[in-house]
Amino acid sequence: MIDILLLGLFISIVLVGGSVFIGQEELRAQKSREEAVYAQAQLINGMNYRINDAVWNNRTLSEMLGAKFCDGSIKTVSSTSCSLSDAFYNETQKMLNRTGRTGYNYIFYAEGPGGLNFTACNLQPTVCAKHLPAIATTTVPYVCPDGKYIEIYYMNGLWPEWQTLPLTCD
Amino acid sequence: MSLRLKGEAGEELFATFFVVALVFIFVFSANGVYGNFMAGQAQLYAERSASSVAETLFFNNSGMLSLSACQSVSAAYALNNVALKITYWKNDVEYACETRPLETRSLSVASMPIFVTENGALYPGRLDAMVGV
Repeated sequence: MIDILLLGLFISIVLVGGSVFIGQEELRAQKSREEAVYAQAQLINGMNYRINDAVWNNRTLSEMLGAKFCDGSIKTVSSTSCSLSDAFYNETQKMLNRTGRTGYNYIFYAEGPGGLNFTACNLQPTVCAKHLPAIATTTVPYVCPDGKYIEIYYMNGLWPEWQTLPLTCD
Repeated sequence: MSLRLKGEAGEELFATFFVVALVFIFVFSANGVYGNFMAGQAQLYAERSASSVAETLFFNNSGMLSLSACQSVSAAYALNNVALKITYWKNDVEYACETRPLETRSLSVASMPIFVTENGALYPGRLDAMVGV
């Protein structure tokens, strides 16, 4: 009799444990999906971001970057700088805090023709981008004042600061 | 005619029934496995529903919502058992535009960053979609 009881106990543990495991995995997948969508929203917000000062002149970030890629004022090929403006940095940081993502790191990256690029982030981009848990990318066309057509690649990555990511892409 | 099992066969049959009964009680009792599992499923689907509403509103409006349309747009998206609240900050002072509150307790909230526009100015905001049971 005892062997039947043990078998029943074993089957129960497997069934219950399996249900709990699958439930947790589903919830984890949903959370990952939400993070990826959040990264997309943050990317769009970053491109839409606009302030009216001497540098930005009420242009959106994507308009300003397009103009700067066109006139050649962005000269960096492999940027490790994390600053665009204090206002952009502060607003992004505030928005992370206000949407329940206090302590998250982000990288906003734009690359124009010739690999010239620009990075805004709250942590030096020393991690491998492809390992970021939430990443959003898009390529946007821009017509320069002289009629030249360029494409700008944008990327936004997001990860919690307590998550350790590989520093290299190996 | 009655069927009587004696010896090892009877004991095993009894043990099988006993285990089945125990598992049944364990699974379907109050706060049992089934109840917890279904509560988890409800939470999961509420999360999906809340994020879906928030995402639809965000992407349909390209991440920018006119303040003048805030009430009408949010009301259009806040359908059955969904409430929306758009909080925005003007010079760090908090304002909000929201639909009716949920009649039941809120089960899940999905938040997205969004911009609110007013007379050409852009204000950072947060879109909260709340789903109840």
